[in-house]
Amino acid sequence: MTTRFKVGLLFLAIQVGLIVYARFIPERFFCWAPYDIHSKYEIQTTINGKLLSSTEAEQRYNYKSKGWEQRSIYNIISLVAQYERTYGANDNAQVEIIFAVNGNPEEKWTLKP
Amino acid sequence: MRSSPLGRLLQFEGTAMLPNVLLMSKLMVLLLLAYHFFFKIEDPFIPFFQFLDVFNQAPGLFKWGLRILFGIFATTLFLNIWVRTSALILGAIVILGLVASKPLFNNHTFICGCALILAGLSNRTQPPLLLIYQLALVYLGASLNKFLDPDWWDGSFMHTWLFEARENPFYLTVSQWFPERYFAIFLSWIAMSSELILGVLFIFKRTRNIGVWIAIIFHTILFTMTAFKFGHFFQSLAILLIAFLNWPKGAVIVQFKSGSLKLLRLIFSWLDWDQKIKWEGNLSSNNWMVLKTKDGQQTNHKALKDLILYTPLFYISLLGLDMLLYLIFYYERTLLFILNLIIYWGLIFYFFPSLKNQPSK
Repeated sequence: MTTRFKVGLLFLAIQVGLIVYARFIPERFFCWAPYDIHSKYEIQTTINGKLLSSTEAEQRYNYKSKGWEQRSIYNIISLVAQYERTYGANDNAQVEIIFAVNGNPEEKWTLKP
Repeated sequence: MRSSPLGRLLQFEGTAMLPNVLLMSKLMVLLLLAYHFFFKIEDPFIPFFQFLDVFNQAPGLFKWGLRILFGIFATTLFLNIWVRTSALILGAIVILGLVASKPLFNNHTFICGCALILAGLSNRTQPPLLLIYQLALVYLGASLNKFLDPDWWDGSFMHTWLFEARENPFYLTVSQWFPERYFAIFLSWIAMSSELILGVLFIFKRTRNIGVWIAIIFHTILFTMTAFKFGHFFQSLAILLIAFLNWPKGAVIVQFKSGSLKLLRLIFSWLDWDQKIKWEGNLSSNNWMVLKTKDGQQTNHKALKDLILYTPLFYISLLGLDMLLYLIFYYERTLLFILNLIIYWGLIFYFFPSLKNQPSK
């Protein structure tokens, strides 16, 4: 077994580890979970009392602010939360993500300053 | 001409990779370029590892550094220079690009990165087992995620996706024939079971070929029902399956009756940039064509099919045709869908192995 092959096996083993790890967190990144959750969502971001438009929200997070998401909704929640914790920390934004997963009753995730 | 840099673009023999793995790698990079991955490489933005934000202290360094490296190693890969190192670095760039940006993450790009990395870790003396295990892992991971989600057991995902999100005509029509959610549940369990079966089939050598055909038919049925390629996952998978081919080592000898097959020989003289095919016009049997490799021989139509499948330009032409049709019929999506269906199902029916005319040693 060559060194390259062993490195390749390690690369695959890391992916197996990520698949197992995904069982314990709500996000679904790098765990081969394509198209197994379909969520309708809308991101509403308010800064200094002003609700951002869809376009402004998309520009802020570099991701569509409403529509259908074919991966875990927590992928979107994760990126919004990280943005507001880092780049947007001084904006004191209040964010609500309203979503419904796989046709189930609507839920809301809220981030306050 | 064939030894020129331009010729090297279309040659796949004599490198540190198996010819079909090199072909897969080049096509994967072409696919990434066609879907603008190069221009999607940006400075870190909401990265998975926050330490990458340090690159934002020097705007453009990360972005242009990766883009320049991508350009360099895509060039070396296409020119058959340091092919394994090039594939490895290109795959790493793809994954690093995804790791640097949560909004950019998607599975159809991730599989490209993984395939390139594992191609770079392969060699030309062993089958590309790492690539095979990668595909098995994709299907096993996908099926595990679904089997552990109750919304897949009761059809909730399938109904939400096909009925509410996509208003899929096929689903809207057929689901009315059955009690509520029955069709969604049926489709859900077919999908889950298929992915699990595929993952298992790919692990074992004896069942790999069956797995390849089931994967091709499964995804083509999925495309036929939904008119959706899941980003470019459909194309990524098809390209990855090239690595599964049992590519003939050494020359491919084609025997024919003297004076016959003139058009075929002319066409393949244009296509055979590796000069792998040796034509021998001394066939005396009742067959009109015999193809011989180290693994055995085929006759007539089976020989012609294998000859096509062993020709790299066939796959390059298919990808080129797929892209060209997309550009030409961009505003005529129904017509594009129909043309895609004709081509994909036509290829499946033509190349589907028959039980007759098994390879003989």
